[in-house]
Amino acid sequence: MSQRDAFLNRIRSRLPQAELPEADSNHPGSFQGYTFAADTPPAVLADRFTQELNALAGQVYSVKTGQEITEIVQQILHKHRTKQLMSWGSNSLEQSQFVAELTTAGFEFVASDLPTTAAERKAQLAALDKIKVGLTGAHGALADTGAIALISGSDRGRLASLLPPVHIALVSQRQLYPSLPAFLTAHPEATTAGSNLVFIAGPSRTGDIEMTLTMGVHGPGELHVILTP
Amino acid sequence: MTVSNVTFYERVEEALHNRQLQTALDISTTRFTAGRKNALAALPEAEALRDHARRIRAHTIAHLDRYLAQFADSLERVGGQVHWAETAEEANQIVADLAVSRNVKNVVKSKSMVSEELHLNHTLEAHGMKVVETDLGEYIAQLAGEKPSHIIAPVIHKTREDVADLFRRKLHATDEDLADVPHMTALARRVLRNEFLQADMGVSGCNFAVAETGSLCLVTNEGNGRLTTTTPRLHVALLGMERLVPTMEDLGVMLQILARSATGQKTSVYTNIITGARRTTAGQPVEPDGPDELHVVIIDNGRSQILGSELAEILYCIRCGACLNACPVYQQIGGHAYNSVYPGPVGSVVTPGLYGLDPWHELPQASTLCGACREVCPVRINIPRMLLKLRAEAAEAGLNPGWLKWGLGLYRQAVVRPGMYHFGSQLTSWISQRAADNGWIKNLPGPLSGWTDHRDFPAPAKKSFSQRWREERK
Repeated sequence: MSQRDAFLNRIRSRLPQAELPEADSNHPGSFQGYTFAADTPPAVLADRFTQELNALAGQVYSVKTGQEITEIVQQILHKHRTKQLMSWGSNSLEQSQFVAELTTAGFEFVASDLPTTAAERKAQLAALDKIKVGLTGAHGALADTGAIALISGSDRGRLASLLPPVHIALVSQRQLYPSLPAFLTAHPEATTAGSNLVFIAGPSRTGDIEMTLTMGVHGPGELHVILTP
Repeated sequence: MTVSNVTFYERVEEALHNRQLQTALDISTTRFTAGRKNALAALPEAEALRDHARRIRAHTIAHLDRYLAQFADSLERVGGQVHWAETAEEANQIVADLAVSRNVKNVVKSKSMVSEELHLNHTLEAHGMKVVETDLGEYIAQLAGEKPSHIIAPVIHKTREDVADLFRRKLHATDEDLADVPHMTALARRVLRNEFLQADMGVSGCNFAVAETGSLCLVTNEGNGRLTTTTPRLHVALLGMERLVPTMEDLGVMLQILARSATGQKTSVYTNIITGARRTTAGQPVEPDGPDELHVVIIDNGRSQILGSELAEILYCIRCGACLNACPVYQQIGGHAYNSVYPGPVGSVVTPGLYGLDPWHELPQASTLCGACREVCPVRINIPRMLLKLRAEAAEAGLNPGWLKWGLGLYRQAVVRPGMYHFGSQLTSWISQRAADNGWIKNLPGPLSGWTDHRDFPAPAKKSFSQRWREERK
C-alpha cells in the first residue's frame, strides 16, 4: 500500500469514532452575511482604503495624471538617494508611460530574475538585496483592511514587494474591492494565474520585543500606494 | 516527546514568583484580549462568521480523508510534491532526505508549531546543517536556547534588557545597536537578511491549506514567512493534517476572523497564498523568482488518535491563541509552565491527546473550567467539555495524586452518611470561622496550604444551609 493510502485509510478507520459536534455531511456553502456591500460606490471604497492603510502607517496618493506618478516615484527615489528600482515589467503596471520617462531620465528598472543554479541564485540575490526601492502593480485594493493584492506572473516577481526596504505599488481605482472575500469572488483565477497571491496590509511590523511596535523587520518598512484613475 | 524532571507544580511555582513574567503576562494578555474584543465588535457579521467558520471546520474534519486526497491531487497538478508522514520520525526523515539529496547547508525557518512537535531543528543540525528561526520572537528564543512561550508572541516573557544582553553575547552587538527596540530590530533584520540570502532551503508551517486549489496560506506580520518561501530554491512546508479548508471562499471566511481573534488586527500584514513552486515551461522558469521546488509534508503524529476520540473537536482549532490570552490560569502561569509545544487551554487538550495522559494528566487540571476559552474561540470549541473528559479519564486510570484520591474518598464517605456529614460541616465551619480574617481564609495548614498560597478562600457562612432551612421552616 502506498504511504498516501495508508495515511488516508488510518483516517477513515478513526472517523466513525470521532465525536464531531455540528459536523454536517454537506459543505455549509457560501457565507451570506458580509455586511460591507459589493455595490459600495468607488469613492467610498477609496476613502475607506486610504483611512485603513494610513492607520497601518502606509502612504496613499490619489493621482489623476501619469505626470503625477512620475513625480511621486521620483520624489521617493530622491529621498532614498537612489536611481535604481526592482520592478515588475511595465506591461503589468498601470499608466506605465512613467517607466519610459524615468528610464530616459537615467533611472534603472531591474527585474528580480533568479537563476536556477544554487550559486548563481545566491549571487543574484546578494546583488538584488542592494536595491533600495521596489515597484509593483497590484490586482486589488481592499477597502475594509487597507490591504493590496498582488498575483505573481511572468513579469511580476515576488521580490520587488519584499526585498527592498521601500515598496511602491500602483493600483487602479477600478480595482477597489470592499474586502478580501469580495476580491476572491471577483478573481477566481487568483491562485492559478501564478504561484503566489499575497495580500499586503502596510509595512512589515513586529511587536515581539516587549510588544513595542517596530516597522520594517523583514519586509519593507515603507509602503507607498499610488491610486491611479 | 521529552518531559523534564521538574514537575508541573514546580514550574507553576516558579512562574508565579517570576515578577517580570507576571508583568509581561499582565500587559500582553490584557492587550490581546481587549484587541480581540474591539476587532470583533467592529465587524457586524462577526458572530455569524464564527458560526459559519465552525461549520466549515466541522464539515472538513468529518471528511478529512476526502479533502486531504483532493488537496494532494490539486497540489500535484501545479507541480508541488506531497509526502505523507505518520510519525515525527518519518517527517524528520523526509525533510532530512530532501535536504541531504539537494546538498542543503543553510536552512531558514518561519514559525511552525508542527516543527516544534517534530524537533526538526535537532534532526537537521545532526546532519551538519545550520538552521535559523526567522520570526523575530522565535529567533530570540533560539538564541537563548529556550522554547517559545506563546503561540503568537513567543518571547513575551523577556524584557528588552534580556534581549539586549542576548544580542551582546551572541551577535556582538554594539551599544548603538542596542539603543532602543527599533535599533535592536534593525540589527536582527541585518543578521537574518544575510541568512535568507544564503539559505538553500526554507521550512515553513501553514495556517491553512486549500483542498480545491492545492494552495498553502501563511500569515505573518514581519514578512519572514514570505522570505522563507521565496529566496531559497527549495521550499518545504509542514502541514498538520487537520489544517485544511475545502475552498478559497472558505479560506476567506477564516481570514476574516483569524487575525482579529489572535492580535485584534483586522488582518495580518502579509497573507501569503502559495500555489505550487514558481511556474515553468519546458523546464525553464516562467516566473522570475520563487522556489524551484515545493514539497508539502502532511503530518499525522498522533492527530488520527485524537480524531478517533471524544477530543476530535479540538481539531477544529485554527491556532489563533485567543484561548491562551483569555484563560485565567494562563494569565498567571504563562506558556512555559505547561512544558508543551501547545500551551494554554487548547494545549491542555491537544497535548494529552497527542502524547497520552501519562505524563500529561496535570494539564487538564490547569483550568478553572470558567469557560472563557470557549467563549473567545473563533470556532467555538467546547474546550471545558474535553478538559472534564480528560480529568475523568485520568481519575479512572489512577493518575491523580494520592492526596486527591484520599481526600475525595473521605468526602464520599461523609456525604453519604447524614450524621457524619453534619458533624463534618459543623466542624469545618467552626474551625474556618476561627481561621478567617474578615470573611476570608488566607492561610490553611499542611497540605491544604496549596490552596491558599496564591489565593484566599471565602470562609463558609456562619450557618449552614440545612441549619437555615430548618429555622425558616419553623
